[in-house]
Amino acid sequence: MKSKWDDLDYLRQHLERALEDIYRSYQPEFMRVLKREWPSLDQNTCLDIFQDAVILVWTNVKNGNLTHLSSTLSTYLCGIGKNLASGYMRKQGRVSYFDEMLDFLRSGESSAELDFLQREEMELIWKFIDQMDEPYHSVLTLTFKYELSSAEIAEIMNAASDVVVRVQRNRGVKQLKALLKTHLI
Amino acid sequence: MKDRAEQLIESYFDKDLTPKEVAELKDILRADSTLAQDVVLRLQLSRHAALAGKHHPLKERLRKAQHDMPAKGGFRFKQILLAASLLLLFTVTAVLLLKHGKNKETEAIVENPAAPAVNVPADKQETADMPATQAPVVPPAGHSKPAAPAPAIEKPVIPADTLIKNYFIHYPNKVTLVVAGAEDTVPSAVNEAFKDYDRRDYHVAAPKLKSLITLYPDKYVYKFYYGVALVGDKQFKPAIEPLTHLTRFENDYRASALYYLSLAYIGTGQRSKAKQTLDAYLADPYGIPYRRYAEQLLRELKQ
Repeated sequence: MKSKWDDLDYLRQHLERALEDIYRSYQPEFMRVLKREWPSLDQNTCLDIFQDAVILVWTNVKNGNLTHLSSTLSTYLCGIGKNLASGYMRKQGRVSYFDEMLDFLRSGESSAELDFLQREEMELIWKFIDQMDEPYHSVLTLTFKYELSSAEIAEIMNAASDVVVRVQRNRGVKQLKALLKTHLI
Repeated sequence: MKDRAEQLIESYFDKDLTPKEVAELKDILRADSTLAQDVVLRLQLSRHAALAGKHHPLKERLRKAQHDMPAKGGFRFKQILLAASLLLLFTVTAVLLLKHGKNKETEAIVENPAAPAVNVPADKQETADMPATQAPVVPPAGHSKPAAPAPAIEKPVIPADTLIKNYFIHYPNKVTLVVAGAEDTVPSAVNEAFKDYDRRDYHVAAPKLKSLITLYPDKYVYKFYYGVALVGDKQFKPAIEPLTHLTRFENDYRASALYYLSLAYIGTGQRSKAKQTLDAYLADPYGIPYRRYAEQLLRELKQ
């Protein structure tokens, strides 16, 4: 069924109220799709993924990365949600790809002593990320929360290519390090 | 060199490195502690990803929107139950008021302190598979309920096993039904565990349910049934941990977990904790199905 939000011009004009309205209108369908594809996902994780998907769509429209839809907004939203859920499940379902490298660095084989941050410090860092401008916030969240590759992120964010995402990720991490120097050291 | 290192790091986080390139990256990180520190930060971000979004302003708005939304999906059943209960309460009140009007002249004669009618249909729903004769609200044998306020005689404390025998109710299996409804084949491990649970062979079901928790750590529903099975098997101490966990966050089984947790506390002799837990159950908006039992049990514990 057609929705008023399928018209991106209309969406742009009513961007402020669109966030909550889209969230309310599309939630049942989105949750049904996610539950059908991944029955083991719990309600809270589904909601978290849905919120991230809505924010990504909204940000894409706001930043002009999404200028036309080849399907309905609902299909587009569900497509993003499936990518996020798939990344989440990959991350949950196995020993993280990154664990081996973390063990290597923890083992003290590298030349200098490395600082491993405490949970409170990590909380502060994620707070920084939450307050970062786009596209850095989305790129870092999709990379580290969902462990998506730059090609997958480029698709979700309608970026020109995965190389662009890599550059954005690199810049985002540099911004983060600069912030850390000011606040944690 | 720096460019190559950055390229390798970015490719590493794309999971796009060959084993040879991973070894090359490790060599670089061994020699360059600044780059290694950079990688540590990224790895730790991934490790602590659960902290993401807590402070994001748009997420904040959506969380508020969610909070303001009426419960949907998994909560629809509870909404229907609540609505049905309220309707029944309204009907019963109306009938009582009519009767009251008719018997106005003789109204001061009898007062009947019946259990709240609001809970009756919900209770029947949840315990549909219970035999009609099983009535945990009936006081245990030898324990007579006084019609008037008790005199100053101290009553004997009702033993824990009597209370549990009277108040433990087999929680109906809704799991296999839900999985089948999602058009998915029920995993054999789930089927196995719930076959024993449905037979009320809690001793055999409990370890199988425990293994489901390991297999599906994100499905707290198995934790709930594991807790119920442990209480059913009189393993009260180990039942406390899984049930307590479920009472600490919002989920479909939170209220019912409080009820079974109170039984586990009674089983371990922690009666004051059991009373607190029953109070929490009665205060919970979803604490409907066992409300009548919870109220009666609380009264007996307070005696």
